[in-house]
Amino acid sequence: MFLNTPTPVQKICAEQPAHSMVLNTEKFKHLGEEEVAKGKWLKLSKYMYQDQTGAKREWEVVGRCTKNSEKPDCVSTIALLHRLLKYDCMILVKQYRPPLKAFTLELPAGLIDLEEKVEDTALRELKEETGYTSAVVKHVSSVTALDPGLSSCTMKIVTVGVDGDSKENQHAMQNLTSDEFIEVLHVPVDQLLKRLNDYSEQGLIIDSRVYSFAIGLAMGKKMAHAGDIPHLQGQETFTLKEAILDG
Amino acid sequence: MEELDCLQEACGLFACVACGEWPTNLDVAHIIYLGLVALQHRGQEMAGIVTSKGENKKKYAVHRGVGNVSQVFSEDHLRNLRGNLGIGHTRYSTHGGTEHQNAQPFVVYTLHGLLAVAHNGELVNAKNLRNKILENGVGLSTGSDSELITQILSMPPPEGEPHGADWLGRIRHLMALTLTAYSLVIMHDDVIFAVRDPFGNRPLCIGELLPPGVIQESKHGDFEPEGWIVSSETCVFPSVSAKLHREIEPGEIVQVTKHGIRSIGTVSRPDNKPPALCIFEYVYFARPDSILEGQMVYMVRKECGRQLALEAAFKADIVSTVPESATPSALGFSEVSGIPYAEVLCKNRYVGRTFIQPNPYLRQLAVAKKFGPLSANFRGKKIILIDDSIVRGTTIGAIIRLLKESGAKEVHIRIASPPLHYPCYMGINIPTREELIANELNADQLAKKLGANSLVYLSVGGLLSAVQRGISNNGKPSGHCTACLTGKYPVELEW
Repeated sequence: MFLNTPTPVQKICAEQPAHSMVLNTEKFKHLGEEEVAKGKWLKLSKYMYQDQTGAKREWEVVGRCTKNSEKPDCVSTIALLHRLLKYDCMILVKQYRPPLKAFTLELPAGLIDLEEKVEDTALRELKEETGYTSAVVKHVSSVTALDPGLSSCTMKIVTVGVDGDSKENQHAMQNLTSDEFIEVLHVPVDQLLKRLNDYSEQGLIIDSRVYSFAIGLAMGKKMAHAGDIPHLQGQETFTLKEAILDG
Repeated sequence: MEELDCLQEACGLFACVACGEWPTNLDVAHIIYLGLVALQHRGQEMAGIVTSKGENKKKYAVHRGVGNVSQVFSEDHLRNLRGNLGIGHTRYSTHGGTEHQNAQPFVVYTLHGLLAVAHNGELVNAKNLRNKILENGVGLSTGSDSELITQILSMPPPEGEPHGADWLGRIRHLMALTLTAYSLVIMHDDVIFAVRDPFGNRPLCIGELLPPGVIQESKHGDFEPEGWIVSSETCVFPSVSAKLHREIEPGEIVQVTKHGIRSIGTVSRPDNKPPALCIFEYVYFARPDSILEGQMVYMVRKECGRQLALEAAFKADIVSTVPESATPSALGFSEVSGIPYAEVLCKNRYVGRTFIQPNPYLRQLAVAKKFGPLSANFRGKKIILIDDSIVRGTTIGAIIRLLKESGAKEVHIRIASPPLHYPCYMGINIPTREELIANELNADQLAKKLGANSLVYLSVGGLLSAVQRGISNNGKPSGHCTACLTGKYPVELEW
């Protein structure tokens, strides 16, 4: 009566802008599915669902044949390599990806075995693909969507630290199957975005999670330094910060 | 050693080059920082680091400042110093002033791009050389001879440079113009040159960087180093996960690149004279855990103590030290004399060296702040107190007074080096001849003045034999500069 905003049905939180539509989550329903095609690893299905207006709709969905509905399909690992007197690096893998007909730079990843805990899959895949052993699992994410407009696959992201100076990691060796061709890269974390852009220019396609992570790191660094005051108290410094030749 | 009246101007040099395809993940800036921290004993007044990415000769990252290494460099500074190679310097300033323009490494623009130079030592013919440079139309902005060196290297060599930059030629030209004293690290674009003067007056050595796991395993012969470092002393190596490769020979010019090290020239001494390594590196300057000429400095100091006992021991109750530099000598003395070692002074490690008091009263006060008597250890006893050298005598005098007032029955001073009689022109800022107490009073007179019951110095022969005993350098010629003790200078002085 006083304002023209529709009465909200269900708000998640106060962080919604006034101009946004509000979803009536109770009205959306999965009605059924129908297999269209099936391969060895993937299947194409048609899902029928109902939207919040009550209309019946269809969606083409790619799913894994191995999917276990309770567990996420796979795990990706954010692995930071720490070594004495070297820059901290992110451990990334380079492989040929047939769907893109190109090489990509991705996080070490793998499908979760039915019997395995998520952390164990992450550590196992890390060791097999990159040779590194990690003893420190820093964080495990909740279930996240891999490519929700296209597929039903879900993923958990595990963050680990790797002690590059430990005896086993000094003699790290990959353990790949005969059909896996994986190159390991160490990319310094404090230059991650720049290095990814360099690789991109060379023709590598960067995985979107890796790129987003790099953006986050760069922004986080900027925010952390926002309050810095030029030094120094009481000490005289006379910096020729960069000696540069003109021309 | 009287740190307040101490001999000054021994600077520290450090350089690092990462091996392999650049950029590597070797954190060169932090390695240089840690190297300088390990060389902090060689200079606490100023520090500087210059790094290069080796991509073009037009851009270096530089930061220099006043204070010790941890005060000058913050994490932000080190982040800005990211590079693939770099050089660093720690410095004592002379004459009590810290002139900013004297901060090293020096960075200049030359015909072939930027050049950075760090120098340890003092040129014996600085005055003549300075005139020569000024006559060439070069303007100097400091009185420092490190700047002179930089200017000479910026000039093309006399034979010209028909094939482009000839750094070897330029360095040889410098070495022909001045014989001593200098250890240098020079950085140009993607190369570092390490140079030691033909007499080897100041130390300089090469280390290889290896992963910590590899260093722990004793068999690391086949492991490719991750980087090369050049350092004034070997004591830095554990801090940066490196091991000693070898010392740089007197007169040698070594080129260090991402591909490795290469000796590219040697300049010999005139008239086949022997080398002249500053003997005070052994007596006082170098850290006890550093290795010079194949022997550990600690062991030489201990041997000096043994020699001193052979020359001047007698029956006392305890042998002790002025902490901490004289401790190995005191232990050597105790071993040979059979007199038990005990501590008599407690040192306040928070009282630093940076304060240079201008007058004797203040100097005495400073000593009182720095040491406390462990009187329970020596009340009623006869003490032999070992110190590594005497310059003016005020500090040791105050210590003797402190011990006697706290109950020592007798205090006998034994000095683990011969008396200082002459100035040094090679980089140690020894006070003028008039200020050297040994030129005014002999040992007995000095004992009386200081209130000691006796005072004896180590003989020059004793010092030399202690120093030479453990040298292990594959039969290469060896020699030490003892000019401050004997007046025998390695080269003709200017006048």
